[in-house]
Amino acid sequence: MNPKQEDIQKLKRLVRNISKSRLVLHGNRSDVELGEIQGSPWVYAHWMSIILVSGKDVKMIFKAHFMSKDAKLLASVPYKKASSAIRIEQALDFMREFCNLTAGAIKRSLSDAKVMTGVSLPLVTRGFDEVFFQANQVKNNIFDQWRLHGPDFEIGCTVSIETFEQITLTSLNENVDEKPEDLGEAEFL
Amino acid sequence: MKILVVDDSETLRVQLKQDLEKGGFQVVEGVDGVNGIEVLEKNKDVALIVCDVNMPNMDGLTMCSKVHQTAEFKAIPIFMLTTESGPEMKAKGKEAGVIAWITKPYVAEKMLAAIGKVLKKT
Repeated sequence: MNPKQEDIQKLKRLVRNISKSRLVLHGNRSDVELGEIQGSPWVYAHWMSIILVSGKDVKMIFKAHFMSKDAKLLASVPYKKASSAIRIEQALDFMREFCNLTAGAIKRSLSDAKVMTGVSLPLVTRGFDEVFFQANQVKNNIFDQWRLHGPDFEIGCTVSIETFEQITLTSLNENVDEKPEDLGEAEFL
Repeated sequence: MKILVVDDSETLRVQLKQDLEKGGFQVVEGVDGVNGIEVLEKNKDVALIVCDVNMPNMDGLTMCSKVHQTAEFKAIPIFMLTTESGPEMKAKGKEAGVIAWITKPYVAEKMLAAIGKVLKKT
C-alpha cells in the first residue's frame, strides 16, 4: 500500500522545513529563505553533500548541492573567520555536518511518527556525480527539490524518497516546532 | 581543566573549542574513536570527554565503552553530543559509561552549565 498523497506532501514539507531550520542553527544565521528550483537540472552545483536515512519502511537520500564560495561564506560564521580564510576542506565539512544535522532531525520526526530509521555517515562528492545517481533512480521514487538562500548565498537541496511496506505517516508532524529554549538540553542518564 | 572533544566534523570541533575555551577549559581534540583514545593516552589529565556517536573508524559508543573499561580512565565523565536521540541509543550510551546526552545542535551556555555541574561533583 502506498502512502496517501497528502502524507507524501507532508513528508516533503517536513524535509524542507528541517533543512531550513538546520541551516539557520548550524550556520548561525536568521536570513535563510526557502525557494523553488525551476526545471530538472542534470547537475545542480559543483559539490554535493549526501546522507541516507533508511529503515524497513522508508529510504530517503537527502542532498545539498552547493558552490565552494557559498559553502565558504556559510562556514565563515561558525569558524569566526572571513570566508576568504576558510579552507575548502572546512567548507565541505560544514556542508557534511549540515546534512548530518538535517538527517538526524528527519530521523527524530519519523521516529515520533513510529517510523524507525538509521542514518548513514554524510559524504561530499563532486556535483557531476549526480549523473550517476540519476541513472540509478527508481522510477516511482518520490522526489523534491528546493533552494535555501539568503542575500549572499544559495544552496540547492533534493530528496529522493522510496517507501516500502504499509507505511503510515498520518501522525507525522511536518512542522519543526522546536522552541529555542528546548534545544541542546543535557539529559543526565 | 582539560576537556577531550571527539567528533569527525572539524566545524563542530572548532565551535566546541571556541565555546569551551571561553568557559575557561583547555581543549584537546580527536577526529574519531581510535584517535580519541590515542589523544586520551597522551593527555591523562583530561577531566571530561565530549564525544559524537556516528564517526568513521570507531564510533563514539565503542570508544566510550573502551575508555570506561580502562581502570585509569574509568572515572572520567563522558558527555555524548550527537544527532542521535533514540532511547535505545541512550541506553547503550549509559551501558558504555556515558553520563549525559546532548542532542545536536548544542547550546554553548547549557553545555557549559552541565559540564560545570558535573565537574564540581568530581
